[in-house]
Amino acid sequence: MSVETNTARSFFTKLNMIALVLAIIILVLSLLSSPKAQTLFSIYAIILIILILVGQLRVNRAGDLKQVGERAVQTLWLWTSLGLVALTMPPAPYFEFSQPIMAALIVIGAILIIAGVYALLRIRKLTGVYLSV
Amino acid sequence: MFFTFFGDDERFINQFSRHVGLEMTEAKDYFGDYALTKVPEPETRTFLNQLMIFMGVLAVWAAVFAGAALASWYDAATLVVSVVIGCIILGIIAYLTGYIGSRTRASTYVIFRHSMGRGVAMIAGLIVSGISATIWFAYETWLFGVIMQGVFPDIPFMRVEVASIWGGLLMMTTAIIGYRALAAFSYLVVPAWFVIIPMALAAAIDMNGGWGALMAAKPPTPMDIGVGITFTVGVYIVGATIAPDITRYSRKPHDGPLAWFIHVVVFMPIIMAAGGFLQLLAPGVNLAAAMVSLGMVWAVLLTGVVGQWSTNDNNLYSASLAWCNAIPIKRVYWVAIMGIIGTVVAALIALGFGVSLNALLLLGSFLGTWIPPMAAVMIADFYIVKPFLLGVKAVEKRYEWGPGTAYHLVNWPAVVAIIVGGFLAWWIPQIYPTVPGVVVGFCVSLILFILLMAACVKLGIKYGIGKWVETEKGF
Repeated sequence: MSVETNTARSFFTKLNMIALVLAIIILVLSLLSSPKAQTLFSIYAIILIILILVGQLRVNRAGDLKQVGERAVQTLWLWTSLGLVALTMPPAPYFEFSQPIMAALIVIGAILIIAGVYALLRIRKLTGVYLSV
Repeated sequence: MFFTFFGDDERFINQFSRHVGLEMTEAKDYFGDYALTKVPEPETRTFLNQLMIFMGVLAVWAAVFAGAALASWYDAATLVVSVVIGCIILGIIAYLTGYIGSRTRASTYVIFRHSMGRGVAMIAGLIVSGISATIWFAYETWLFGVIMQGVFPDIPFMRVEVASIWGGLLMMTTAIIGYRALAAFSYLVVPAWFVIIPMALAAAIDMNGGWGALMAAKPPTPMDIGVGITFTVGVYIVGATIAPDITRYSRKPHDGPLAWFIHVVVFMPIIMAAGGFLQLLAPGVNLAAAMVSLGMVWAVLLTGVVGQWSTNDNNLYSASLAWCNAIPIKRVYWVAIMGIIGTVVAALIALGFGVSLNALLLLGSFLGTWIPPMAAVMIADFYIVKPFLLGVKAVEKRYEWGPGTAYHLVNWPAVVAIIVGGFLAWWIPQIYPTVPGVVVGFCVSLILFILLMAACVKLGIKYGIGKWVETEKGF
């Protein structure tokens, strides 16, 4: 395994684990909220967690730099995009989020997007794969 | 480029190509984004990439509104069944067309050259995408303006005509860059869109009586299930026909076609059901309005802006590929030309300056009736005529391109099959509204083309008229 491959994989793993922690926080916050928010936001958080874990598994199994890059970029796109859900949905009065939880969810959404974009650009540089992989 | 008007068979054309020293080689990508040439191996993309682009096309409010239209005919269960059956039909058609694209790595309009002839491929490409997709680009751009004004009624920058202009220009950007931008943008948009809409639907159902009320809801004018199936097929048949525009980038031959099948069979029913279910529960209330009333303003804005964008850039992209096949100008110029025309038309519709939206949609629908017969001819030629009538069994040998490749100018059996099938697809629904015109047109063209080609081959009748030899640029 080349140094470049290990560097790319280790960078991806760090960022992916941050995203996993944030997704778990979303799950916990949704469980502390109103019944309306509980179901829908729990499902959203579980989808996010599954995508992150599957992505990590695929990157761990990747054999070369190109494969690591492609699988990492795909996973990063998925959770970056899903960050948009946490950014736009909590302000809706329907979900009856308390102000602190709503603010926390929006901040988490923003972090997911910013971290995702940064990680995408970095992985692109480290592995040389297209962002449109 | 040169052509003559003497009919001949395919074998003679290939001998002619060699005689004049125009052996088939790889063409240079002169027009950009491999508009008229094969996509090279290093540029191919993954299954997920293809799935995201297709889902990006589907991620549009118009698909939700199409589902709402079914609610006046069916209860919830029948609505789902009719949509799923329609989607399976679409999936099969697109799998067949998409596989041709992923095998040959050429766009729909370049594929048309073999089955229809080079001259007919130019016109067919313009009907399928060059003109039709530009009309839909203008419509979706106008709709984008309507959504913007609906969400922000008091901001001048969001007035329909103003938002149509900046929205149209915005949507042109990804289409100008090409496939890479379409894919990256779809990756960003699609996962969020397909989580937000089901969440919003669940919330809207909850607010309007819940699932129990939905299952008990009855449609005002019940209709035979076949009408709904035809409607569903008609909604997306153009997408199924032009699937090769995207699947030509498929890394493995089955990746792209499978991505199309999954996106239409799994995700299209969800989107159409989202519109239909809410309409059943609260007639006259669309999902976007329901989301606004639930306070999901930012989500409506996000799904409206990026959804329209990820669909409309594909419209413009396909239109530019079709125009390149008809008039040899670089693809980016065609995106700019058709994008500006579409944007101006959208703004004129918004301002009410002499452009009738109904007339435009009528033209788009009329052109749309001729598209399934073209898909039928493409499918019949690749899967039946080439291997079983002309003896080209090897899949990779059925269609070949490159400088020096000779095509007929016109394949008359294809023209006859398209005209007959297209006419029936347009005429039958006017006389018998419950008969699926689009499906009849598709089937008639498929059978007629095979019969005519079989007759030509068996009786030694020339089916090709004229010749056209591909230039170094792939034109």
